[in-house]
Amino acid sequence: MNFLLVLPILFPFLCALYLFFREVEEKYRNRVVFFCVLFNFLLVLLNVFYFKNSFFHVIRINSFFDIALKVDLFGLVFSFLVSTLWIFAAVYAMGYYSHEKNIHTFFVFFCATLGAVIGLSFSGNLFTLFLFYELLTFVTFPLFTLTHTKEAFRSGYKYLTYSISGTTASLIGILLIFNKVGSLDFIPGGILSDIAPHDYSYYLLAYGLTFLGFGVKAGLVPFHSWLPSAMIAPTPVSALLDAVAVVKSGIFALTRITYFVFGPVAIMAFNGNTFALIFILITIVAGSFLALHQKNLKKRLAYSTISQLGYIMLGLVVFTPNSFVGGMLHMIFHAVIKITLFFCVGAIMHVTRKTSLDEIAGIGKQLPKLMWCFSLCSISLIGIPPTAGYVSKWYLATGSLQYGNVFVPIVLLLSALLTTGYLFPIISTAFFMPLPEKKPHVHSLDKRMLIPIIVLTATVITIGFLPNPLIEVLTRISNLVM
Amino acid sequence: MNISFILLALILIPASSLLTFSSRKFRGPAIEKISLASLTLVFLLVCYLYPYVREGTIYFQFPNLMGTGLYLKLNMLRYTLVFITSFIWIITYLYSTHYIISYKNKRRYFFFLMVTFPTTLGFFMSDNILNLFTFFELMTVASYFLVIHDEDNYTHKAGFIYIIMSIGGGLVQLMGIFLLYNYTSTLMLSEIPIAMEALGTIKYVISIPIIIGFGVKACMFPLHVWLPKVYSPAPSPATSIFSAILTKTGIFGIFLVLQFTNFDINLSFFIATTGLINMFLGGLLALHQRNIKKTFAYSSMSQIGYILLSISIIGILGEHGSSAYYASIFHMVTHALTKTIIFLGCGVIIYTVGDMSLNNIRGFGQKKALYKITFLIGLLGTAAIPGFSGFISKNMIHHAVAEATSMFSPGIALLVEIIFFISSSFTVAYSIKIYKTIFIEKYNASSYKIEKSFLRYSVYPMLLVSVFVVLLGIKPQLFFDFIGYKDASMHFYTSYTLTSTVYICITGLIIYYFYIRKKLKVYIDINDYYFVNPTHGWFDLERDFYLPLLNFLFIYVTAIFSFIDNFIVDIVTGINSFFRYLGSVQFRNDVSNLYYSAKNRKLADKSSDLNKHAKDISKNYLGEKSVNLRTLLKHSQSESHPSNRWLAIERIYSKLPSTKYSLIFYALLHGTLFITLYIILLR
Repeated sequence: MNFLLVLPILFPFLCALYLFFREVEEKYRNRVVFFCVLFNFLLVLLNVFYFKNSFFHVIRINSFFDIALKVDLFGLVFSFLVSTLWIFAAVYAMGYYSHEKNIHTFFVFFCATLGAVIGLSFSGNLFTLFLFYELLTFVTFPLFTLTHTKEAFRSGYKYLTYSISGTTASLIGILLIFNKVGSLDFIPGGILSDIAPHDYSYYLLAYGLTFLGFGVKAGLVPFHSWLPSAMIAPTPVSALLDAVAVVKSGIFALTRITYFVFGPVAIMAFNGNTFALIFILITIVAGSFLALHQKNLKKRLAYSTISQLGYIMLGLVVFTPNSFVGGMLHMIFHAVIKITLFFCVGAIMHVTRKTSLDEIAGIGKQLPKLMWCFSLCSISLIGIPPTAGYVSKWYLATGSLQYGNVFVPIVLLLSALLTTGYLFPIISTAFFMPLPEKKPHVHSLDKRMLIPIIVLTATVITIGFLPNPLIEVLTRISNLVM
Repeated sequence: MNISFILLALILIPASSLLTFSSRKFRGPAIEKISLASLTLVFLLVCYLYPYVREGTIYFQFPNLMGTGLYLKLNMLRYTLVFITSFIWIITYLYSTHYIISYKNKRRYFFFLMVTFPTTLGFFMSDNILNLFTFFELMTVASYFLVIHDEDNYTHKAGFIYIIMSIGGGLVQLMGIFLLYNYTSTLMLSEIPIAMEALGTIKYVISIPIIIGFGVKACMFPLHVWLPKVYSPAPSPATSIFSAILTKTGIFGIFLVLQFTNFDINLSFFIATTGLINMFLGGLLALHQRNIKKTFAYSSMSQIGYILLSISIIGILGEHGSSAYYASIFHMVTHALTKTIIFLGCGVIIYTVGDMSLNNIRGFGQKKALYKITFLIGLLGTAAIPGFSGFISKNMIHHAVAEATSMFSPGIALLVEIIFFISSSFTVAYSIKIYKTIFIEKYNASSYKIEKSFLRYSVYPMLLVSVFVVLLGIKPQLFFDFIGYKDASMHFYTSYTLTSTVYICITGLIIYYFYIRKKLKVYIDINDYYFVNPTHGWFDLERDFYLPLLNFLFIYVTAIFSFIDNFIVDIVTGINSFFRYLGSVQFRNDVSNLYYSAKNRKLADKSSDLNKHAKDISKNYLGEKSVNLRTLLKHSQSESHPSNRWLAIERIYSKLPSTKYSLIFYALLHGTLFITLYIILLR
């Protein structure tokens, strides 16, 4: 029965093909997409609860070309997160694109991306991961170029160039590992056994290449420029890709290679984590600092994503149990919070056609529910206790102090101050500035856009107050890999 | 029923009254009644708890809530603060109901007034450092909304500086808490002192960030820069809350830090120094201000200096520190009561006249007997005149200070004595200035009358508070019995204290006559003058130090990061353009039309048509007259064009006034930068 693992991956692709070949009208299409996403969610649940720790080879040619699917605790967490957020994104996209023509491509590739990401999370070895990673690039490219304008093509081209260069680098890294080890399976704790000291530079090269390669998708500075350019795309795309699908897949891949291929012990031996830490610290500070300069709201959130991804990657390379839990917690919290923030900004753009910080003065009085949700999520991201962002920061900071480095919490707190600096002006302009004399015309807000925002905000507050079940699951994973 | 649940109820009752704000069924008056009822209920419960706290400390625990759990504790010190908080909150609430009359943002004001209350109570009762931090941050965020109530430009700037300094201080504090947890592995305030004993100099690295965090709220020098900026635009009841209660949270936090480092002597010296600076600087700056609220803001800063000094004396005196301990508590209570009266009184002026400047409110106090008396009691309480509670507390502090400095060299003792004396005389001097200008003179503001309805809710609460000020001044033993301090040797109305008060008053009068009258008043006519404030030209810590420093860092860091942001894209576009340029270079096949033109001294082409055509072609290709590297680059740029690259820097700090101090400081900063680069690069 293990072949059922393929279903959650294949089903969305089938739906995508169906939508691609049959031009359907809007209501029917919405129903198809919603059914696809919901059913896929149930399939994922089925797989993770009934087929725990099962393993399935799709095709096996030799020890390198081996497409294998496996569900372990970490893949479970990620696929669950992604499937849930996809449902919300589907509802939001349906509301955003109601009464709009020629938006077929979006929903086709929306479903296809879901399949690619689930495939990524169910990968059983590095080769399958790499395959789905490349597939993800190609499947998300049409979403970038959705509007068919010159800037859209330019941003899509940029994204493609960055991604493919990244995957080339990681491919070289993968080949280097395969050369020495002979297998690419994911084993918690790493597949590298004792490394001889004279091989350190070899493994450092391999790790460095794979890290930078997968880091491109994960928004590692200096390879992050595709993220702000991607904000040209409409909001359902940016919300999905830059909060959940693409960037978190990059993080997922990074976690897999750090903990399941190389292993903490080996990486510390050849100082791979110091190499990664330099890039990560620059990412954290550069992301939040550059966000201060952006007037366009979506670009601001894009740079904010870069900075927050730095937090998550920090949790990964510091190699203490607390920091791993903190990093993974932040991955979950950030995904939910960021997607809500993007939804809010997109809703503002949809109803008022305003994109920039100086244009939204006083909009809190016209769209109170929306801006309240935005404020609550921003406060959570800034990390004021007792919200969700504070819990993950606490774990990250205590973990990095255990590691012995005092510099890291200082960077974290500096970035928290900068986060306040770029999120707070949005809230204060929306609520505390007076409306301009010529009041902007506000179309009515579609319920399908508002409901996901409110539900997700409620989720953020709840998991901020009661994070313990999540912490327990993540501690179990961290015990496995360290 | 278990008494400890009452501690939780004290927080939950006001929090639950907040729910009425969101429901549409309740109208304004109903909400007001419910809020007032919850405040009264909390006050009654606090009174009910008195005998229990007297017997012994009450604890409340709720583990596993929000990760670390909720731990509350109520001993006599915390009880006093909770008592005074709930009392003053009722007074200020009643005042607010008739002060905030305009409908704009009224609901928001009362909402956040009712949010700040339980968070403050929770802060005073917290036994766990993380709860302390949580309540502290929540209190900061809630009080921000009280500051920006009026929503004009100046108010927004004030709110911005308040929130940035508070959250910045909070993050520095968080760093200290992280280090604390790392080194002591515990978060409970009862266990930290034991763990701290074992630590060496790291305890200073831990406690100083935490003190900085609390110091922002407590207006400790040099973190006091937000004080005058925030106190003046905020509505008066909010200012009285800030001055009376929120400063006490900062002071209480500093006290807790000293307590868990076992009153370390070096930290005590540090706090004592800042206390002395606060006392002196606050008094000095208060003398010069023309705005009544700013005067009393600096006056607050000065009084806080007294409290900080006496808290540090607890550590310096060691076993005999209990007198300093009770002196600090008494002065905290006195300051809360007197500043409430004063700021509510300022509110009466602002409500009736609409102006805060002393030049425009001269003579307001004429023919308003009740108002005059209560305001006078507030001023006399601050200035420590015998018969009022300020006299008692200042002399207790003076006594403790004298005892402490006697342990050191006579030079230090003399210096501290002089600072103490001068600060007290400053207090007398500015009190005389304010009182004379508002109440004794007769001028154009005398014709304003206080509305009857407002009078009931403003002057009568002030009167109630002033009764306590007088009561505690005449019979201080009541307070000591309340708090459980038994020291029979406390005599306050001795010849020593009375004579020193007389000396202070005389010095204050001298300062008033020879400095304020001569230097600060500019006479246009025999009877007509206006006040000037020469401090605008002095060195302003915020304008001439903090802002230039931040501006300097901001600009250089922006340059570095925008380079990092774009360098890959720039390299790729550069390579692109270069190859495109190579590809566009045209080689001429035919040279038959070329000749050397002696006139122009260069190679010219006989077939000018060809040239023209070529130019047209190149013009069509790129729209440029001639094709060269520069034009190719211009057209190859995408969104990383230089005009977008040096990104539009936020205008927060770029329009800084350049005073001579800030220019010197910039020069210093650039000099340091170059020297550091030189050292790094040449090593």
